Amino acid sequence: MKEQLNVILSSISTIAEVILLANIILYLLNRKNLNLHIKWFDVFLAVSFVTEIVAAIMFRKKIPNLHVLHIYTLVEFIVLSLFYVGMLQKIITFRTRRMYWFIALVSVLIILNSIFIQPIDKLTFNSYAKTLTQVIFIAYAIFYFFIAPIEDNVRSRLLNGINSGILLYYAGSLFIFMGSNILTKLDVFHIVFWISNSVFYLIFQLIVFYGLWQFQKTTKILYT
Amino acid sequence: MAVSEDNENFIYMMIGTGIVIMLGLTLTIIVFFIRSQRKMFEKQMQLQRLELTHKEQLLYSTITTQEEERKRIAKDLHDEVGSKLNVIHLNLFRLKKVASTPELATTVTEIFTVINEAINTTRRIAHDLLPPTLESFGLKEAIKELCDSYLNVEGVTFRFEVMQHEDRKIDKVVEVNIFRVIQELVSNSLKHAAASEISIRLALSSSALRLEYRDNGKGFDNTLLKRKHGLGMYNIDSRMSMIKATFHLESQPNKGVFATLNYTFP
Repeated sequence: MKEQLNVILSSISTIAEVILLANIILYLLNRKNLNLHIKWFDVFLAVSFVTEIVAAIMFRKKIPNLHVLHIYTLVEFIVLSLFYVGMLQKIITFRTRRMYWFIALVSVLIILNSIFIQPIDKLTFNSYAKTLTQVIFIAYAIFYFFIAPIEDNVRSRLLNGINSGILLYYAGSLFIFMGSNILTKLDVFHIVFWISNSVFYLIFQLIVFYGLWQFQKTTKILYT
Repeated sequence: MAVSEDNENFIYMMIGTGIVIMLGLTLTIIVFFIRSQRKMFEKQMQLQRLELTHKEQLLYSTITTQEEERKRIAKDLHDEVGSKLNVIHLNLFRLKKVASTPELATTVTEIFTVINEAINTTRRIAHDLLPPTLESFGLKEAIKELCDSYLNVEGVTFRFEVMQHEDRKIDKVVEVNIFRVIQELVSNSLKHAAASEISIRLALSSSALRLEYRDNGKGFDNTLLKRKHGLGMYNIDSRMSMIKATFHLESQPNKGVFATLNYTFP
Protein backbone atom coordinates (compact mmCIF):
# COMPACT_ATOMS: atom_id res chain seq x y z
CA MET A 1 0.00 0.00 0.00
CA LYS A 2 2.71 2.46 1.02
CA GLU A 3 4.72 1.69 -2.11
CA GLN A 4 1.70 2.08 -4.34
CA LEU A 5 0.87 5.44 -2.78
CA ASN A 6 4.51 6.52 -3.15
CA VAL A 7 4.43 5.52 -6.84
CA ILE A 8 1.28 7.64 -7.36
CA LEU A 9 2.90 10.54 -5.49
CA SER A 10 6.13 10.36 -7.47
CA SER A 11 4.25 9.98 -10.79
CA ILE A 12 2.13 13.10 -10.17
CA SER A 13 5.21 14.99 -8.99
CA THR A 14 7.11 13.99 -12.13
CA ILE A 15 4.25 15.14 -14.39
CA ALA A 16 4.11 18.43 -12.47
CA GLU A 17 7.88 18.85 -12.92
CA VAL A 18 7.58 18.25 -16.67
CA ILE A 19 4.81 20.87 -16.91
CA LEU A 20 6.93 23.21 -14.79
CA LEU A 21 9.84 22.76 -17.19
CA ALA A 22 7.49 23.40 -20.14
CA ASN A 23 6.32 26.58 -18.39
CA ILE A 24 9.90 27.78 -18.00
CA ILE A 25 10.56 27.13 -21.71
CA LEU A 26 7.32 28.86 -22.72
CA TYR A 27 8.18 31.77 -20.45
CA LEU A 28 11.64 32.10 -21.98
CA LEU A 29 10.17 31.95 -25.50
CA ASN A 30 7.73 34.76 -24.66
CA ARG A 31 10.02 36.74 -22.38
CA LYS A 32 10.17 39.68 -24.78
CA ASN A 33 6.40 40.06 -25.04
CA LEU A 34 5.72 39.27 -21.41
CA ASN A 35 8.16 42.07 -20.49
CA LEU A 36 8.47 43.54 -17.04
CA HIS A 37 4.78 43.23 -16.27
CA ILE A 38 5.22 39.82 -14.73
CA LYS A 39 8.89 39.92 -13.82
CA TRP A 40 9.99 37.63 -11.00
CA PHE A 41 7.50 34.94 -12.00
CA ASP A 42 10.16 33.36 -14.22
CA VAL A 43 12.53 33.38 -11.25
CA PHE A 44 9.83 31.72 -9.15
CA LEU A 45 9.36 28.99 -11.78
CA ALA A 46 13.13 28.45 -12.06
CA VAL A 47 13.59 28.30 -8.26
CA SER A 48 10.70 25.82 -7.98
CA PHE A 49 12.19 23.63 -10.69
CA VAL A 50 15.70 23.62 -9.22
CA THR A 51 14.27 22.86 -5.75
CA GLU A 52 12.16 19.98 -7.11
CA ILE A 53 15.19 18.48 -8.87
CA VAL A 54 17.50 18.84 -5.86
CA ALA A 55 14.84 17.39 -3.52
CA ALA A 56 14.20 14.47 -5.89
CA ILE A 57 17.93 13.67 -6.20
CA MET A 58 18.35 13.81 -2.42
CA PHE A 59 15.28 11.61 -1.95
CA ARG A 60 16.63 9.00 -4.37
CA LYS A 61 20.02 9.05 -2.65
CA LYS A 62 18.20 8.69 0.65
CA ILE A 63 19.57 11.99 1.94
CA PRO A 64 17.09 13.90 4.14
CA ASN A 65 15.77 16.80 2.06
CA LEU A 66 13.83 18.86 4.58
CA HIS A 67 16.64 21.44 4.63
CA VAL A 68 15.70 22.25 1.07
CA LEU A 69 12.14 23.11 2.14
CA HIS A 70 13.44 25.56 4.76
CA ILE A 71 15.55 27.40 2.17
CA TYR A 72 12.85 27.16 -0.49
CA THR A 73 10.23 28.70 1.85
CA LEU A 74 12.41 31.80 2.27
CA VAL A 75 13.33 32.17 -1.42
CA GLU A 76 9.76 31.41 -2.53
CA PHE A 77 8.39 34.07 -0.17
CA ILE A 78 10.82 36.75 -1.36
CA VAL A 79 10.39 36.00 -5.08
CA LEU A 80 6.59 35.68 -5.05
CA SER A 81 6.31 38.83 -2.90
CA LEU A 82 8.45 40.77 -5.38
CA PHE A 83 6.28 39.38 -8.20
CA TYR A 84 3.15 40.72 -6.51
CA VAL A 85 4.80 44.06 -5.67
CA GLY A 86 5.66 44.47 -9.37
CA MET A 87 2.19 43.43 -10.48
CA LEU A 88 0.31 45.58 -7.97
CA GLN A 89 2.52 48.58 -8.74
CA LYS A 90 1.07 48.61 -12.26
CA ILE A 91 -2.45 48.90 -10.87
CA ILE A 92 -2.34 51.00 -7.69
CA THR A 93 -0.02 53.49 -6.06
CA PHE A 94 1.45 52.42 -2.76
CA ARG A 95 4.65 52.91 -0.82
CA THR A 96 6.90 50.15 -2.12
CA ARG A 97 9.41 50.85 0.64
CA ARG A 98 6.84 49.69 3.23
CA MET A 99 6.27 46.55 1.21
CA TYR A 100 10.03 45.87 1.10
CA TRP A 101 10.20 46.33 4.89
CA PHE A 102 7.33 43.87 5.25
CA ILE A 103 9.12 41.32 3.03
CA ALA A 104 12.32 41.80 5.07
CA LEU A 105 10.46 41.39 8.37
CA VAL A 106 8.72 38.17 7.32
CA SER A 107 12.02 36.86 5.90
CA VAL A 108 13.67 37.45 9.29
CA LEU A 109 10.80 35.59 10.98
CA ILE A 110 11.25 32.66 8.57
CA ILE A 111 15.00 32.55 9.33
CA LEU A 112 14.42 32.83 13.10
CA ASN A 113 11.87 30.01 12.89
CA SER A 114 14.41 27.82 11.07
CA ILE A 115 17.08 28.58 13.69
CA PHE A 116 15.19 28.56 16.99
CA ILE A 117 11.61 27.27 16.77
CA GLN A 118 11.67 24.55 14.12
CA PRO A 119 15.43 24.13 13.63
CA ILE A 120 16.67 23.24 10.19
CA ASP A 121 19.11 20.65 11.58
CA LYS A 122 16.39 18.78 13.55
CA LEU A 123 14.79 17.55 10.32
CA THR A 124 11.36 19.00 11.05
CA PHE A 125 8.97 20.76 8.70
CA ASN A 126 9.03 24.54 9.02
CA SER A 127 5.24 24.41 9.30
CA TYR A 128 4.91 27.79 11.09
CA ALA A 129 6.91 29.65 8.46
CA LYS A 130 5.20 27.74 5.65
CA THR A 131 1.73 28.50 7.05
CA LEU A 132 2.58 32.18 7.50
CA THR A 133 3.90 32.54 3.93
CA GLN A 134 0.95 30.62 2.47
CA VAL A 135 -1.54 32.87 4.28
CA ILE A 136 0.36 35.89 2.90
CA PHE A 137 0.24 34.46 -0.65
CA ILE A 138 -3.51 33.84 -0.30
CA ALA A 139 -3.91 37.44 0.87
CA TYR A 140 -1.87 38.74 -2.09
CA ALA A 141 -3.98 36.71 -4.53
CA ILE A 142 -7.33 37.81 -3.05
CA PHE A 143 -6.16 41.43 -2.93
CA TYR A 144 -5.13 41.21 -6.58
CA PHE A 145 -8.59 39.91 -7.48
CA PHE A 146 -10.16 42.91 -5.73
CA ILE A 147 -8.12 45.49 -7.61
CA ALA A 148 -7.53 43.67 -10.91
CA PRO A 149 -8.09 46.01 -13.87
CA ILE A 150 -11.25 45.41 -15.87
CA GLU A 151 -9.71 44.18 -19.10
CA ASP A 152 -10.21 41.30 -21.46
CA ASN A 153 -6.98 40.66 -23.26
CA VAL A 154 -4.44 37.86 -23.42
CA ARG A 155 -2.11 39.48 -20.85
CA SER A 156 -4.83 40.06 -18.26
CA ARG A 157 -6.13 36.52 -18.81
CA LEU A 158 -2.61 35.16 -18.19
CA LEU A 159 -2.22 37.22 -14.99
CA ASN A 160 -5.66 36.18 -13.75
CA GLY A 161 -4.75 32.56 -14.52
CA ILE A 162 -1.46 32.75 -12.62
CA ASN A 163 -3.22 34.43 -9.69
CA SER A 164 -5.99 31.80 -9.67
CA GLY A 165 -3.35 29.04 -9.77
CA ILE A 166 -1.46 30.59 -6.85
CA LEU A 167 -4.66 30.97 -4.82
CA LEU A 168 -5.81 27.44 -5.57
CA TYR A 169 -2.47 25.79 -4.75
CA TYR A 170 -1.61 27.69 -1.58
CA ALA A 171 -5.17 27.57 -0.21
CA GLY A 172 -5.48 23.88 -1.02
CA SER A 173 -2.19 22.93 0.57
CA LEU A 174 -2.42 25.31 3.54
CA PHE A 175 -3.74 22.71 5.99
CA ILE A 176 -1.38 20.02 4.68
CA PHE A 177 1.73 22.08 5.50
CA MET A 178 0.12 23.37 8.70
CA GLY A 179 -0.18 19.79 9.94
CA SER A 180 2.94 18.46 8.20
CA ASN A 181 4.84 17.72 11.41
CA ILE A 182 1.91 15.74 12.83
CA LEU A 183 1.22 13.98 9.51
CA THR A 184 4.70 12.41 9.43
CA LYS A 185 3.92 10.71 12.74
CA LEU A 186 0.75 9.08 11.38
CA ASP A 187 0.32 5.83 9.45
CA VAL A 188 0.79 5.36 5.72
CA PHE A 189 -2.53 7.03 4.89
CA HIS A 190 -0.99 10.48 5.40
CA ILE A 191 0.65 10.10 1.95
CA VAL A 192 -2.81 10.76 0.49
CA PHE A 193 -2.46 14.36 1.71
CA TRP A 194 0.90 14.70 -0.01
CA ILE A 195 -0.70 13.27 -3.16
CA SER A 196 -3.41 15.97 -2.83
CA ASN A 197 -0.66 18.56 -2.46
CA SER A 198 0.97 17.27 -5.67
CA VAL A 199 -2.37 17.33 -7.47
CA PHE A 200 -2.93 20.99 -6.43
CA TYR A 201 0.57 21.82 -7.60
CA LEU A 202 -0.05 20.03 -10.90
CA ILE A 203 -3.31 22.00 -11.38
CA PHE A 204 -1.41 25.23 -10.60
CA GLN A 205 1.24 24.41 -13.21
CA LEU A 206 -1.40 23.37 -15.76
CA ILE A 207 -3.25 26.69 -15.31
CA VAL A 208 0.03 28.58 -15.83
CA PHE A 209 0.82 26.38 -18.85
CA TYR A 210 -2.60 27.07 -20.40
CA GLY A 211 -2.19 30.82 -19.82
CA LEU A 212 1.31 30.91 -21.34
CA TRP A 213 0.23 28.69 -24.24
CA GLN A 214 -2.71 30.98 -25.06
CA PHE A 215 -0.43 34.01 -24.70
CA GLN A 216 2.11 32.56 -27.13
CA LYS A 217 -0.59 31.57 -29.62
CA THR A 218 -2.19 35.01 -29.61
CA THR A 219 1.04 37.02 -29.74
CA LYS A 220 2.23 34.81 -32.61
CA ILE A 221 -0.90 35.74 -34.57
CA LEU A 222 -0.52 39.40 -33.61
CA TYR A 223 3.13 39.66 -34.63
CA THR A 224 3.01 37.63 -37.85
CA MET B 1 5.50 9.92 20.18
CA ALA B 2 2.76 7.51 19.06
CA VAL B 3 -0.64 8.88 18.12
CA SER B 4 -3.76 6.95 19.09
CA GLU B 5 -6.14 5.79 16.35
CA ASP B 6 -8.89 8.17 17.54
CA ASN B 7 -6.52 11.12 17.48
CA GLU B 8 -5.21 10.02 14.10
CA ASN B 9 -8.71 9.98 12.64
CA PHE B 10 -9.43 13.36 14.22
CA ILE B 11 -6.27 14.84 12.64
CA TYR B 12 -7.16 13.38 9.24
CA MET B 13 -10.66 14.76 9.53
CA MET B 14 -9.45 18.20 10.60
CA ILE B 15 -6.91 18.48 7.81
CA GLY B 16 -9.34 17.01 5.25
CA THR B 17 -12.09 19.42 6.30
CA GLY B 18 -9.62 22.31 6.19
CA ILE B 19 -8.61 21.41 2.65
CA VAL B 20 -12.23 21.10 1.49
CA ILE B 21 -13.22 24.43 3.09
CA MET B 22 -10.20 26.24 1.64
CA LEU B 23 -10.81 24.77 -1.81
CA GLY B 24 -14.49 25.67 -1.63
CA LEU B 25 -13.67 29.24 -0.62
CA THR B 26 -11.00 29.52 -3.32
CA LEU B 27 -13.29 28.26 -6.07
CA THR B 28 -16.06 30.60 -4.87
CA ILE B 29 -13.67 33.57 -4.97
CA ILE B 30 -12.37 32.64 -8.44
CA VAL B 31 -15.86 32.10 -9.89
CA PHE B 32 -17.10 35.32 -8.24
CA PHE B 33 -14.09 37.22 -9.62
CA ILE B 34 -14.50 35.87 -13.16
CA ARG B 35 -18.23 36.60 -13.21
CA SER B 36 -17.95 40.09 -11.74
CA GLN B 37 -15.03 40.93 -14.07
CA ARG B 38 -17.06 39.79 -17.06
CA LYS B 39 -20.09 41.80 -15.91
CA MET B 40 -18.01 44.93 -15.30
CA PHE B 41 -16.23 44.49 -18.62
CA GLU B 42 -19.55 44.19 -20.45
CA LYS B 43 -20.81 47.31 -18.64
CA GLN B 44 -17.62 49.16 -19.55
CA MET B 45 -17.95 48.10 -23.19
CA GLN B 46 -21.60 49.16 -23.23
CA LEU B 47 -20.62 52.54 -21.79
CA GLN B 48 -17.88 52.92 -24.39
CA ARG B 49 -20.33 52.00 -27.17
CA LEU B 50 -22.79 54.59 -25.85
CA GLU B 51 -20.04 57.21 -25.69
CA LEU B 52 -19.00 56.38 -29.24
CA THR B 53 -22.57 56.58 -30.50
CA HIS B 54 -23.01 59.89 -28.71
CA LYS B 55 -19.80 61.27 -30.23
CA GLU B 56 -20.87 60.05 -33.69
CA GLN B 57 -24.26 61.66 -33.33
CA LEU B 58 -22.64 64.88 -32.17
CA LEU B 59 -20.32 64.81 -35.16
CA TYR B 60 -23.16 64.05 -37.59
CA SER B 61 -25.28 66.85 -36.19
CA THR B 62 -22.28 69.22 -36.50
CA ILE B 63 -21.85 68.27 -40.16
CA THR B 64 -25.58 68.53 -40.81
CA THR B 65 -25.78 71.91 -39.06
CA GLN B 66 -22.74 73.09 -41.01
CA GLU B 67 -24.40 72.11 -44.29
CA GLU B 68 -27.69 73.73 -43.31
CA GLU B 69 -25.87 76.89 -42.26
CA ARG B 70 -23.96 76.98 -45.56
CA LYS B 71 -27.22 76.56 -47.42
CA ARG B 72 -28.84 79.37 -45.41
CA ILE B 73 -25.87 81.74 -45.90
CA ALA B 74 -25.73 80.91 -49.63
CA LYS B 75 -29.47 81.62 -49.95
CA ASP B 76 -29.24 84.88 -47.96
CA LEU B 77 -26.25 86.02 -49.99
CA HIS B 78 -28.04 85.28 -53.22
CA ASP B 79 -31.50 86.51 -52.30
CA GLU B 80 -30.79 89.37 -49.92
CA VAL B 81 -27.31 90.78 -50.58
CA GLY B 82 -27.26 89.82 -54.27
CA SER B 83 -30.66 91.33 -55.07
CA LYS B 84 -29.87 94.53 -53.16
CA LEU B 85 -26.58 94.88 -55.03
CA ASN B 86 -28.50 94.41 -58.26
CA VAL B 87 -30.89 97.21 -57.27
CA ILE B 88 -27.90 99.48 -56.54
CA HIS B 89 -26.44 98.45 -59.89
CA LEU B 90 -29.68 99.38 -61.68
CA ASN B 91 -29.99 102.73 -59.90
CA LEU B 92 -26.37 103.55 -60.66
CA PHE B 93 -27.11 102.86 -64.31
CA ARG B 94 -29.95 105.38 -64.14
CA LEU B 95 -27.76 107.86 -62.25
CA LYS B 96 -25.03 107.53 -64.86
CA LYS B 97 -27.52 108.51 -67.57
CA VAL B 98 -28.49 111.73 -65.78
CA ALA B 99 -25.02 112.63 -64.48
CA SER B 100 -24.68 116.41 -64.94
CA THR B 101 -20.92 116.80 -64.57
CA PRO B 102 -18.02 114.71 -65.94
CA GLU B 103 -16.67 114.29 -62.35
CA LEU B 104 -19.94 112.74 -61.26
CA ALA B 105 -19.97 110.42 -64.30
CA THR B 106 -16.41 109.26 -63.47
CA THR B 107 -17.33 108.61 -59.84
CA VAL B 108 -20.43 106.66 -60.87
CA THR B 109 -18.33 104.55 -63.27
CA GLU B 110 -15.89 103.77 -60.46
CA ILE B 111 -18.77 102.74 -58.16
CA PHE B 112 -20.08 100.63 -61.07
CA THR B 113 -16.85 98.68 -61.20
CA VAL B 114 -16.87 98.07 -57.43
CA ILE B 115 -20.52 97.02 -57.46
CA ASN B 116 -19.89 94.61 -60.34
CA GLU B 117 -17.02 93.07 -58.40
CA ALA B 118 -19.21 92.82 -55.28
CA ILE B 119 -21.98 91.11 -57.27
CA ASN B 120 -19.52 88.61 -58.77
CA THR B 121 -17.88 87.91 -55.44
CA THR B 122 -21.25 87.40 -53.73
CA ARG B 123 -22.30 85.02 -56.48
CA ARG B 124 -19.02 83.08 -56.25
CA ILE B 125 -19.18 82.77 -52.44
CA ALA B 126 -22.82 81.64 -52.58
CA HIS B 127 -21.91 79.14 -55.28
CA ASP B 128 -18.96 77.78 -53.33
CA LEU B 129 -21.03 77.42 -50.21
CA LEU B 130 -23.61 75.30 -51.99
CA PRO B 131 -23.43 74.78 -55.74
CA PRO B 132 -26.96 75.24 -57.11
CA THR B 133 -26.14 72.57 -59.69
CA LEU B 134 -25.79 70.01 -56.89
CA GLU B 135 -29.17 70.99 -55.50
CA SER B 136 -30.91 71.05 -58.87
CA PHE B 137 -29.15 68.51 -61.09
CA GLY B 138 -27.31 66.18 -58.72
CA LEU B 139 -23.78 64.91 -58.07
CA LYS B 140 -22.77 64.06 -61.65
CA GLU B 141 -23.47 67.55 -62.98
CA ALA B 142 -21.97 69.20 -59.90
CA ILE B 143 -18.66 67.32 -60.38
CA LYS B 144 -18.73 68.23 -64.07
CA GLU B 145 -19.26 71.86 -63.18
CA LEU B 146 -16.46 71.69 -60.60
CA CYS B 147 -14.08 70.34 -63.28
CA ASP B 148 -15.25 72.98 -65.78
CA SER B 149 -14.60 75.77 -63.27
CA TYR B 150 -10.87 74.96 -63.59
CA LEU B 151 -10.89 75.07 -67.42
CA ASN B 152 -9.35 78.52 -67.43
CA VAL B 153 -6.73 77.72 -64.80
CA GLU B 154 -3.42 77.31 -66.52
CA GLY B 155 -1.40 74.14 -66.02
CA VAL B 156 -4.20 71.96 -64.67
CA THR B 157 -6.06 69.32 -66.67
CA PHE B 158 -9.22 67.71 -65.35
CA ARG B 159 -10.68 64.48 -66.64
CA PHE B 160 -14.10 63.36 -65.51
CA GLU B 161 -15.56 60.04 -66.56
CA VAL B 162 -18.95 58.61 -65.67
CA MET B 163 -19.91 54.97 -65.97
CA GLN B 164 -23.58 54.61 -65.32
CA HIS B 165 -25.45 51.35 -65.73
CA GLU B 166 -28.76 52.53 -64.35
CA ASP B 167 -30.21 55.89 -63.49
CA ARG B 168 -30.46 55.82 -59.77
CA LYS B 169 -31.58 58.64 -57.52
CA ILE B 170 -29.02 59.44 -54.85
CA ASP B 171 -29.98 60.84 -51.48
CA LYS B 172 -29.23 64.57 -51.16
CA VAL B 173 -27.23 64.12 -47.92
CA VAL B 174 -25.07 61.45 -49.59
CA GLU B 175 -24.54 63.66 -52.64
CA VAL B 176 -23.51 66.69 -50.59
CA ASN B 177 -21.04 64.67 -48.49
CA ILE B 178 -19.45 62.97 -51.51
CA PHE B 179 -19.19 66.32 -53.24
CA ARG B 180 -17.48 67.86 -50.18
CA VAL B 181 -14.95 65.01 -50.19
CA ILE B 182 -14.20 65.68 -53.87
CA GLN B 183 -13.83 69.41 -53.14
CA GLU B 184 -11.39 68.59 -50.31
CA LEU B 185 -9.37 66.24 -52.54
CA VAL B 186 -9.20 68.77 -55.40
CA SER B 187 -8.19 71.52 -53.00
CA ASN B 188 -5.39 69.32 -51.58
CA SER B 189 -4.18 68.31 -55.06
CA LEU B 190 -3.91 71.93 -56.17
CA LYS B 191 -2.78 73.60 -52.94
CA HIS B 192 -0.36 71.07 -51.46
CA ALA B 193 0.48 68.49 -54.11
CA ALA B 194 0.92 70.91 -57.06
CA ALA B 195 -0.80 68.40 -59.32
CA SER B 196 -1.18 69.14 -63.05
CA GLU B 197 -3.52 66.25 -63.87
CA ILE B 198 -6.58 65.23 -61.94
CA SER B 199 -8.91 62.48 -63.00
CA ILE B 200 -12.25 61.60 -61.42
CA ARG B 201 -14.14 58.47 -62.32
CA LEU B 202 -17.67 57.91 -61.11
CA ALA B 203 -19.25 54.47 -61.50
CA LEU B 204 -22.92 54.09 -60.71
CA SER B 205 -24.88 50.88 -60.59
CA SER B 206 -28.28 50.04 -59.19
CA SER B 207 -26.79 48.98 -55.88
CA ALA B 208 -23.59 50.98 -55.39
CA LEU B 209 -21.57 54.04 -56.18
CA ARG B 210 -17.81 54.01 -56.65
CA LEU B 211 -15.64 57.04 -57.04
CA GLU B 212 -11.99 56.93 -58.07
CA TYR B 213 -9.82 59.97 -57.70
CA ARG B 214 -6.27 60.24 -59.00
CA ASP B 215 -3.72 63.04 -59.26
CA ASN B 216 -0.11 63.25 -60.41
CA GLY B 217 1.05 65.52 -57.59
CA LYS B 218 3.88 65.26 -55.07
CA GLY B 219 2.20 62.51 -53.10
CA PHE B 220 3.28 61.61 -49.57
CA ASP B 221 4.36 58.72 -47.37
CA ASN B 222 1.32 56.55 -46.72
CA THR B 223 2.56 55.59 -43.24
CA LEU B 224 2.44 59.24 -42.18
CA LEU B 225 -1.26 59.31 -42.97
CA LYS B 226 -1.86 56.26 -40.80
CA ARG B 227 -0.01 57.87 -37.91
CA LYS B 228 -1.41 61.37 -38.12
CA HIS B 229 -4.70 62.58 -39.54
CA GLY B 230 -4.97 66.20 -40.63
CA LEU B 231 -8.17 68.23 -40.33
CA GLY B 232 -9.06 67.51 -43.96
CA MET B 233 -8.74 63.74 -43.56
CA TYR B 234 -10.64 63.90 -40.29
CA ASN B 235 -13.40 65.77 -42.09
CA ILE B 236 -13.47 63.18 -44.89
CA ASP B 237 -13.56 60.29 -42.39
CA SER B 238 -16.40 61.89 -40.45
CA ARG B 239 -18.46 62.47 -43.58
CA MET B 240 -17.85 58.93 -44.80
CA SER B 241 -18.79 57.49 -41.45
CA MET B 242 -21.95 59.58 -41.47
CA ILE B 243 -23.20 58.23 -44.79
CA LYS B 244 -21.73 54.77 -44.07
CA ALA B 245 -19.38 54.83 -47.04
CA THR B 246 -15.79 53.60 -47.15
CA PHE B 247 -12.88 55.74 -48.18
CA HIS B 248 -9.38 54.57 -48.96
CA LEU B 249 -6.40 56.70 -49.86
CA GLU B 250 -3.05 55.53 -51.19
CA SER B 251 -0.01 57.58 -51.93
CA GLN B 252 3.74 57.43 -52.36
CA PRO B 253 6.22 60.29 -52.58
CA ASN B 254 6.31 61.66 -56.17
CA LYS B 255 3.69 59.16 -57.32
CA GLY B 256 0.54 61.16 -56.72
CA VAL B 257 -2.56 60.12 -54.88
CA PHE B 258 -5.15 57.46 -55.59
CA ALA B 259 -8.35 57.51 -53.58
CA THR B 260 -11.45 55.34 -53.75
CA LEU B 261 -14.84 55.91 -52.26
CA ASN B 262 -17.45 53.17 -52.09
CA TYR B 263 -21.04 53.64 -51.15
CA THR B 264 -23.74 50.98 -51.16
CA PHE B 265 -27.30 52.16 -51.56
CA PRO B 266 -29.53 51.14 -48.68
